Amino acid sequence: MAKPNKNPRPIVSGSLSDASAQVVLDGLDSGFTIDDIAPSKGPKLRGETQFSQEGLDELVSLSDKGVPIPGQSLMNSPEEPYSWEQPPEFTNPREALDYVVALMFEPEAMKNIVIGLSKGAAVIDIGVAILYSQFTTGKINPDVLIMLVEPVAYLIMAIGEEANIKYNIEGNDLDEFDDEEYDEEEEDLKDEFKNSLSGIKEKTLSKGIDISNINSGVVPESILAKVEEKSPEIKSILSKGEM
Amino acid sequence: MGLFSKLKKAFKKIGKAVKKVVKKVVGGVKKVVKKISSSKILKALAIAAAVIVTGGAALTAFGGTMGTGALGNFGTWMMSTSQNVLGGTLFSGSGTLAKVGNFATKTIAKPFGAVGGALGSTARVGANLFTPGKSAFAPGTAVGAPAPFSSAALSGQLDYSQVVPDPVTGGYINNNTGLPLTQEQIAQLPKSFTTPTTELNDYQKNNPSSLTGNRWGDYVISGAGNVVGGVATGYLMNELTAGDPRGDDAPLMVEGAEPLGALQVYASNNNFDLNDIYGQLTYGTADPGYIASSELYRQDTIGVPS
Repeated sequence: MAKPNKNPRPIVSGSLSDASAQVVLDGLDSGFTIDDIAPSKGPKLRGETQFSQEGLDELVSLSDKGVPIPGQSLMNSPEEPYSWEQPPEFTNPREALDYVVALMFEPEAMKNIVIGLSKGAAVIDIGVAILYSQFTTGKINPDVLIMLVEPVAYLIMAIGEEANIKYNIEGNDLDEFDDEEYDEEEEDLKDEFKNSLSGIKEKTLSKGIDISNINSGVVPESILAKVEEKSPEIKSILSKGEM
Repeated sequence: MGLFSKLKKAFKKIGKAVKKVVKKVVGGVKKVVKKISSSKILKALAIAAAVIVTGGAALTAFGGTMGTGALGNFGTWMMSTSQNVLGGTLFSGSGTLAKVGNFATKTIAKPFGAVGGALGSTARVGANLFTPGKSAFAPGTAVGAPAPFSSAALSGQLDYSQVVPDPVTGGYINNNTGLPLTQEQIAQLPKSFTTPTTELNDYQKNNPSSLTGNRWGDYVISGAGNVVGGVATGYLMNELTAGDPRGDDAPLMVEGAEPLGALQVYASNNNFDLNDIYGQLTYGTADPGYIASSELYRQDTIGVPS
């Protein structure tokens, strides 16, 4: 375990992503390793999305039940408005966030979130479902709902990490970050190769090697003959070509 | 277009937007810190974000990765921002930060505190609990477990509406089943349920109009000389006058001049009054919500004169 070499920097940001990135960078800068911040817990449980015919049938049967007739809401009595038609309980996003977080930290709810993640439900979908239920029960208004999607999503991700689940963030993107890693690794290797080539070139130039001084016997005659044989076929990409 | 159609459209967009932001931030961190896998960065970000949002309560609540690993080191280090803010700089002439309507004081301070150790294991075990044919958001079957997202769930781990004291044994009985509660279940009952109502102290008896229930608290609120009527005083008054259902003294948190600097800069850059900070959803280690939510800083930093 690393011992921090300085105190944390006070950070304020309007975005949770930005704030947490700054905190992580500050932590790494203070002497922590990434394993101190995010200790590995072994292989993760894959939260794969699985096709379920039953689920699809249920969805279809729900949509078969019909939608409200245009203007139907106007037929409701103004004396009995829906919960979302009344002033919300929380107008301050901070208070609303505290309330929602408290609900999510309730053990039974957390267990269900973990089950959802492990069965392939996406972080955003679970977060939106939680917040939408708060909107329909008149706890928050749509604006606060949108504002809370980011922090709620991060909390669900943290729950997923704690439960050691490889989760989907949006849709079916389980391995997206891993794929990126492979791409990045490949890019890194390419960069390394290019750097080593340019390094050789630089070293050669710094030694002041003149091409005219190179011994003609360095390249074997047989190879030179092959090059001469193939040279008419080798064309510059800028050459005019045949008419 | 109706409200619900608009919301549906917004959900589609916001999901993509949040993911884009997450990817961008992971990429940003990766550019600075080389040779760390994206999934590791994502994990670190999620942990840091959870600590920021809950003011450190996630550290105690999770008990696993964060509890054993990060709490002892990175978590404690993160929390030390609040310590710097609150420690040793009391009444240095900057202002009062006494946010009481936050996650920790409203939730963790209540019987919900029992969540602590149990929660991490629940979450970990939960990964293996595949219950076929059960909705992800269905209420649990555990004895006394409240329905998720219900008011009972918010007020404590156990739904105590069906729990009655047992005058014979001194314990408690589940009124539904007639069975006595185990010690473990009793420990999960709300404190307000298991302990008799707190009697008024001498100061409260002599000063029935007292807002805080102690001389020091009243002094801080009314003493305009020491408390610059700035950040959150109005908010504090609202919260205090609304009354605390459990009769606890509201924790009072005061911050010094230095840490307010970050807030002042942020407020100035974003063109709003610092006094309106509670109306703004900000995040970070210098954010008032984070500071005040921190469980560590709910301890008495001000000696309360009797």
